[in-house]
Amino acid sequence: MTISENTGERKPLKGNFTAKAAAFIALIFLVALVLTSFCGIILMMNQGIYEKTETEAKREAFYSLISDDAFAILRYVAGDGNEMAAVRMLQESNIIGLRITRESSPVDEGMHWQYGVVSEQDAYYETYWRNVDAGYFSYYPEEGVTTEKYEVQLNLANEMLIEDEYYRADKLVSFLYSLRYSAIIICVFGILLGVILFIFLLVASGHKNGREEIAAGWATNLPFDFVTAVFAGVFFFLLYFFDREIRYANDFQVVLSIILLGMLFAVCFVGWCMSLALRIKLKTLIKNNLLYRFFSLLWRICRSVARFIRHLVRGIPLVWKSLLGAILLFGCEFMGILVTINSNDEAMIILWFISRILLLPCVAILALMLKKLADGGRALANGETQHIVDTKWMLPEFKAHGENLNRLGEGIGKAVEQRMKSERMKTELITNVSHDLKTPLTSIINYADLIEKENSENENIREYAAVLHRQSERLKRLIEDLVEASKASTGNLEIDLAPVELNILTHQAAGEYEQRLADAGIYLVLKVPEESIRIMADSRRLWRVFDNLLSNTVKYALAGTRFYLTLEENEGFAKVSFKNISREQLGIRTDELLERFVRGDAARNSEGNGLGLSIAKSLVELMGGEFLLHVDADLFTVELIFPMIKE
Amino acid sequence: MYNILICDDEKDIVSALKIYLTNPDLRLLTAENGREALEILKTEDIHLILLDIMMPVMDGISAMIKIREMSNVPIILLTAKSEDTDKILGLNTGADDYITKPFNPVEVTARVRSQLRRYMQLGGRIKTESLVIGGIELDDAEKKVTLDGEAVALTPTEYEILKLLMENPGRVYSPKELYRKVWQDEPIGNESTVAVHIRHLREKIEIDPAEPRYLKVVWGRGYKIEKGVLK
Repeated sequence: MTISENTGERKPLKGNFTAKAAAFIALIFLVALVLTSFCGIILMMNQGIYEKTETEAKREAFYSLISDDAFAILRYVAGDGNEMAAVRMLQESNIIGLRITRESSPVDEGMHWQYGVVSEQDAYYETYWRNVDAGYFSYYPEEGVTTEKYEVQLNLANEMLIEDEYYRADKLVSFLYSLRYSAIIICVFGILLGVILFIFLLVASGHKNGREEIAAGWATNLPFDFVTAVFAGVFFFLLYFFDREIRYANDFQVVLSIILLGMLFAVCFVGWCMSLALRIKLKTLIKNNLLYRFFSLLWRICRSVARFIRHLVRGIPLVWKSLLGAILLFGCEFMGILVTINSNDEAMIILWFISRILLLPCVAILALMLKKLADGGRALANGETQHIVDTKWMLPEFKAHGENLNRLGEGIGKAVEQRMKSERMKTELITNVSHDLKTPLTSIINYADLIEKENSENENIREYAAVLHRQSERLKRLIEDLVEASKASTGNLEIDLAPVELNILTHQAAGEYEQRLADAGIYLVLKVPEESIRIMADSRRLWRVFDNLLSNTVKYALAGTRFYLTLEENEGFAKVSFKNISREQLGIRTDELLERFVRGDAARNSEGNGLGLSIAKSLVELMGGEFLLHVDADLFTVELIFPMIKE
Repeated sequence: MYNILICDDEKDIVSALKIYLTNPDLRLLTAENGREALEILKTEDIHLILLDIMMPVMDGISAMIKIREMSNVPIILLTAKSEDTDKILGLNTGADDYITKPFNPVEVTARVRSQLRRYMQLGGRIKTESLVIGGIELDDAEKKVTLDGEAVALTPTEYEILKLLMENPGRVYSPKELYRKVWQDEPIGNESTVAVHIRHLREKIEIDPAEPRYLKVVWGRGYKIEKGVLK
């Protein structure tokens, strides 16, 4: 039964198609074998083979043959007087001795005819009657007529040499006897082996060598209940057919059709079971069913209908919805009353009508209150803190809730206002402090300048005055940047957005800085596309961004290197990039570079205050752009990205 | 001899200004607040006022409004308030110029001179053959440009740019347009050239090139000469 692999490594048998096919065919034949032996056992039991000895069984089998033969010979001898025919017939059979005796009667002294040797041992006896008037023979005596009784005694050969019916009956009984216990054994072992093969097939279904997962078969895509119905239909049709035909069939035909039917059933059933096992393994048993599909479709339809109704109901304003609900409810009530009514209850019905008509406005008013509260809540959620819920004419509970909502709105409004006020205060404070700082600074600058211009003999004094002058100029710029940074970061700046041609602005900015860059020994490489690139921006603020970035380049770029100012268009976005090589090692994270009032250690000795980048970033973001900063070793890159105006 | 009134509550700044403005032509008077300035104005013939805004007793803006009721003497606001809104307020309520503290003394001197010249010498003078915008006068016949009466040396390109802009005051010319009209050629990726020339021109005709009064940059669009500034 098993087919072992003779090449290479051992592969599991359950993945081998040949093994599975062989197992399947073997199982079908086992079913045929078991059915055959089972039928044989039933037949043998009917024949009594399990109760009698072999000799008894043989005698019984011979008797049915003998009665026919003896009758024929009796007719030849006693009826026709054709003794030759009788002798010829006897010579061609295994009957070795035969004697016919007719009892003596008042008119006759009897009759006696003998062939071969007759002995009393193992003799067979038959009795017949002859209707004297009509002259025919029968197996039973007739009433009311004159009959003669004939007795036939005969002996069979112990060793049958002639192949006649006795010989065949003898062989058959011997054969059946030899089989009577082995049939049971065959049946039991056949069932055991069949079960093993069946389990093997179930386990093996879906496995294929070379594939890890369970492979779907050709029939797996068919709905399972469909497959089951087809199998069951075919089987029951055959069963019906068999049942109709079998009434007129002999034993042999019955056995043959049982076997054929059993094999057919086995093919269907094993196939069905394998498919079932495969579906369980693939976890598609439930889903791949017509019924399942039908019900899931039904479920989806119901769900979408429910969703549609819910959507519809949600679309109706709250007040109308409540009224509609109330009217529906009253309608149902009215139906109920109509069904159970007694004609005497007219007064009750009128009372009912009045109460319901009074109830409707109450429902409407309640719904109206709810709607006001709901609107108030929604307004709060949307940030409209000034929304006031009108709590006049509300029930106490609703009123309390509405007032809570109002107070909540007030509280949030106050908090937001306070927050904004404090932001504004901060900016105002910085602005005012800067004004106050500027007045003494003016004097410092002026007098430092005056000292510088004084015709002093002392070189040191002029040098010191120059330091004072330079540092106070720096202080001035610092104050201005501080004010601007605080405004830009708190959004306290008016941004006036208008279309700006970024390519023109880039050229203008480059023109403004050309001289200063050249003085600092930095080569400007300008790449601006010919076609116009328009963005929405506040052009003065945008210039401030360029100004800061370009002045940073002048201050911090390494002399003798190139500075790339590039404008590009990319998928609806305009990108300006500033790339330069830093003079000093940066050694600082990009986010630190951007943090206000923080400046890289390395840059601390040069002019500038490091607020420029922070201001530029805030301004770009206020204008709806993106400000990206990359530092890769000494390569310092700033990218400004703005959405372009769609043509 | 011009009388100049310096009005500031900060004595150190007043004396510094006095040192810078000391000149045989100029007589310097001082006041500590708006009220004092008004008092002096009643008795003296003042030709120019340098006025602080934040002062005790009476602030600069209130004083300026009072002064404008009786005189159109040039007033230069000299203040620490550097917000755009302050500048607009100051110029709209009657100031002729606006300088923020801390100031550059040379710039203050230049602006004082400029205002005096325009007030004393050029006031009311109209010359039909030449283009006049504020203190700039361009005589196309002589190919000569003067700023507040003083000659300015321009290169031919700068002259052409200025002439084009002054012929159409208020109109914004894009760098491309300027290039086509002045160079009589197609600009091919060299619009920055125009920007460089504009910067040079601005350095010559503006007292503070970083905050130009006449030749304005319209960022992202082009350049223009302001229409009818500082009459």
